[in-house]
Amino acid sequence: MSSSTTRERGESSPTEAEGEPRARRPIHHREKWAALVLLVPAMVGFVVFWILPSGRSIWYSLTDFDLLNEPQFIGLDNYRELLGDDVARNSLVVTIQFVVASVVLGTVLALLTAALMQRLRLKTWVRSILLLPWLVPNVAIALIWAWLLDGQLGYLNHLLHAVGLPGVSFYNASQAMPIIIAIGIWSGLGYTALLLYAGMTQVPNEMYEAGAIDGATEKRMFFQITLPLIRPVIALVVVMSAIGSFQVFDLVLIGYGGNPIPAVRTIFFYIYQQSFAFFRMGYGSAIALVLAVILGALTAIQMRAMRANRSDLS
Amino acid sequence: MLRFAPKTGLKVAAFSAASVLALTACGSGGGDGDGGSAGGPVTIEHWLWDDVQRPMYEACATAFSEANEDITVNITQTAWAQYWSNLTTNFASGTGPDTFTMTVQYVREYSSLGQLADLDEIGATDGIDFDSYVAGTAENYLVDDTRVGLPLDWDIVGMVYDETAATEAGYTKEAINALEFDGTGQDSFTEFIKAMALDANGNNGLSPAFDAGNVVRFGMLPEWADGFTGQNGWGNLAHAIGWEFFAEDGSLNFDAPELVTTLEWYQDMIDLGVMQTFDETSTLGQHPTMEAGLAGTTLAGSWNASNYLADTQEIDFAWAKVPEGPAGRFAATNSLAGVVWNGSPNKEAAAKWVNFLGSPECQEATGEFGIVFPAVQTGTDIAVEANEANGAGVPEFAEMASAGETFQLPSFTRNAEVRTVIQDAIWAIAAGADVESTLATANDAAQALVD
Amino acid sequence: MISTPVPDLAPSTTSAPTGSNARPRRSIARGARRVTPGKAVAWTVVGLLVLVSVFPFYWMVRTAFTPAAELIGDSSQLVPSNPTWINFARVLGLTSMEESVAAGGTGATLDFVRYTANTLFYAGSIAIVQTLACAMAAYSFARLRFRGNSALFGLFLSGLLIPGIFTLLPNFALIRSLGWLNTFQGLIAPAILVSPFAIFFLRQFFLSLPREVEEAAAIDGVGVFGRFFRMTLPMSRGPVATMMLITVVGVWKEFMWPLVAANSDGTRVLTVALQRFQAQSPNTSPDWTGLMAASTVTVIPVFILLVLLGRQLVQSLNFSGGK
Repeated sequence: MSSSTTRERGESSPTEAEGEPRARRPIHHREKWAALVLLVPAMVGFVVFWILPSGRSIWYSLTDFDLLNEPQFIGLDNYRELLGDDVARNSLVVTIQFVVASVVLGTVLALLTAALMQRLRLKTWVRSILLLPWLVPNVAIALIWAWLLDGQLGYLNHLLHAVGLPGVSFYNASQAMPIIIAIGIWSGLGYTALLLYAGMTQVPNEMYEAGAIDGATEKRMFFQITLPLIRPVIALVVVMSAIGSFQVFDLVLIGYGGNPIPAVRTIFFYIYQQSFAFFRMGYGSAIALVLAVILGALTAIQMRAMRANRSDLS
Repeated sequence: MLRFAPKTGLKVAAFSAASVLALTACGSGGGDGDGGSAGGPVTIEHWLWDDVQRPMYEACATAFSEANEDITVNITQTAWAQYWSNLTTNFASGTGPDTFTMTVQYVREYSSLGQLADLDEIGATDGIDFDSYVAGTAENYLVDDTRVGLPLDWDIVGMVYDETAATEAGYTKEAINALEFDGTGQDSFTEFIKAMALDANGNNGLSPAFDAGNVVRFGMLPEWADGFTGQNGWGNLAHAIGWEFFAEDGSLNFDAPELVTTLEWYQDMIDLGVMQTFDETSTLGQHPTMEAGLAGTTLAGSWNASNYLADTQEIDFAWAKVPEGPAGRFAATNSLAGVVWNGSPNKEAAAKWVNFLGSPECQEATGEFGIVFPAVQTGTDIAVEANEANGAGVPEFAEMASAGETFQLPSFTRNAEVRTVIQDAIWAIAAGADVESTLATANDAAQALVD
Repeated sequence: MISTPVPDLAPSTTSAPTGSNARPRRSIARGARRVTPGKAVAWTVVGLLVLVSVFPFYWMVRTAFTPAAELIGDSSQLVPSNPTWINFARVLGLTSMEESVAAGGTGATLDFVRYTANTLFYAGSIAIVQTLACAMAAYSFARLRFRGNSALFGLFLSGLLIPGIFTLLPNFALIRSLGWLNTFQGLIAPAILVSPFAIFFLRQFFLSLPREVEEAAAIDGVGVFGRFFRMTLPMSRGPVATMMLITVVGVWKEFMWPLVAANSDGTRVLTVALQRFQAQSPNTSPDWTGLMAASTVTVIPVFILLVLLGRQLVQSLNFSGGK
């Protein structure tokens, strides 16, 4: 991502390799000190609201904590229970399926949309309309779709019935997850597409011109020029999508009025349910910790696999 | 040329620190105005879930404030679906309501979490004559010898039906009151609901030409979101053929054959097109669905009676008893109570308010509204009279109650989890899963939570 | 679904005329301007995309204008037969309790003005302060050398992997013990100073800036703060603005944290207010007309933003013009 210079390599020595005058030293000290000062606000925020709570969460995971009374230490019991918890395992599987489907489908659709944006030279106002779903809070989106898909009165079902198709329903166990996935993709499409489009506009024209001279078709150029060159953009979009879609929680909570059917209970919902509805915050924290570890491992693998560290452009 | 000395660094540090300090100095957003310290005027926050009942409790609140000048009662309604989760969130934030309405299913759970104040200790039971309450209502709120709630009302479940449709199908009220359910699908109750189903061509469910794919009015509207009680549906029917929540040895009985039979009967009715499929459940609740003429009958609670019988209804509804079975007739019965939150900063005032709520004075006044049956017997008498006067009387409720044709709803400590386990099983069954195995698995899971 | 933008990863290409309206001219000698069947299909797809993006909101507004009594009857009409303002009136608290109940509600209202103000403060303050704090940190990581630079940055990055729910409750417990529940400071505290993503994003950008100017200034004796505040920041207007924008949108959409930490009238934000309105539905059935009116009201600020600043929004997301 950046070319590293010798300067990145850690502390300076009293005499610079470049042979600069000794007057440099005070500046280096000042630099370090300045760096620290610049870092202070973010560090404070990070330590107090990210590191400490994580630690506290780990503590909770070793306790029986019902949220309303003091936590009681119980050692590793929560983890033992988690090992045998089929529901947790199932909801993790559901979540992974959801994330994979969401991310793959969403990225593909966004790529197509971005390609369209570029190819058709879509005007700015068209591109900005596509942003509308992204700007609206999930709470409102959930309500709107719950109403559109109402079993008896939803307009979408009305349209489906009108063409002879069976209706879709939030309450159908096999349709529910795909519906949530679709809504998730719908709300993020304009935004993801714009980002990919931004990446695409980075590709220098000469590349395409060269390809045209070589006689390549548009399709081929897309796959062999555009896609590889925007690989880091795609990779980043994929990773952030994945992390984000793990958290499609508001949609599920609001869309079902607080009481979702088992088919859509992702691991996040399970953690929330254990912590807030079942008064088992300790157990919920244990699940969350295991999840964080899994997420970390997956992301590390993902980033490696997509060799996202380098772009073929720079 | 420009020398930016450490002064700039200081500025930066100061800026950071200042932001944090400024935030601290930011005015507090203010709470919900919950009560002052001892001696000053106090506002009691009271929560309930039924908006229809709100006016009657507000009337009580006004009367209460007149008698207790420095206490004001502020009533907030939160729909049932969000009521308990909102309560929990607010308890955790320390901003729970001072008093709220409690129901039997949840009382054990909240009591074990230490959220319910001991009413005897805070003086809420002073002067209460427990004999004045309808039998059972007060006992429901005695958890391990601690009195945590004073009863507000009692209710019972009946069958509400479209009177016009019933007459067309040839049924009188007497006939409907005598319907029988035995789980075989050959009983008079099944016949009745088939007769009430209507397809687009005008055939009812009994006709061989009934088109299950083109139903205009379903025979019966099932209730699938009852948790482990089946209060507005399967519980009543299952009890009629001999089912009970607990087996003889005290273990959970959700895998019993009687319940299996009942739920399989529901599945048969769905297959026949007499009941709508689970997918077709609308977000609109039971009452609007009935009001729109989408179903001919359903089991519903007595607290809805005034809704259904109001003049503004386009459809003429009538009420009857729940069907009888070989084991008898059993209608779900329940009672609500006023409880005090253990974390309330205004327990003294809260105690007075709950005391008033449980008193004949308040309950005779709520009886006049005719919406619920107050727990105080005289209040119930007044409610019955008021309903008769409005033409909204349903003698069947009192008849079932006094004949003891009822069953109580159970209460578990790990209520939320048991509820989820059984609810999930019921939902799966409503969507067509194999009843026996689903119930067996669920029962085991629930049993583990109860032990 | 996802939450974040992408840094400009190819900053030094000087060859292509980049810019938000870059039009790579594919000079394929096939008359790309003719309306081919392929083009027609493509335009249809775009039309569908726009329709699909917009229709649910149309439906929301249409339902909001439907009287509750006609909700069922009108459910398959594209346009309500008797449009009415009553739902908006009762949602905004402009009707009496009786009128509200008669129109299908419970008297619940949405104090739109106050909640919008709260949300604006919430989103705005975090966007500004957080972005600044993160820019400072990002610059530190990008430009300055000190021991543990990479390790510390890695630590911040690991924050990206921490699921929100992990920190939700401990943060809640902390804010509660500080007595900051239901206050603005409690509401903004966890996010106000740091966002791992913002640091990552801005660091990427700073790394891509040419060093020569800063090095020259350093030789001239300009200190770190001078370089940062007087040179780098002004040069980074584009990405910083983008970051602020992304943050505003993200915070605007926040739900769980404001729900548990700031659910009092004085501090409630729009998302929580909408859920609360839903919770105060009549017990028997959701008040759809009221809910849709309430939703419309909460979407209005967003819509206005889009209309007024849509162009800038799109262009800033395409910040290849960052130089």
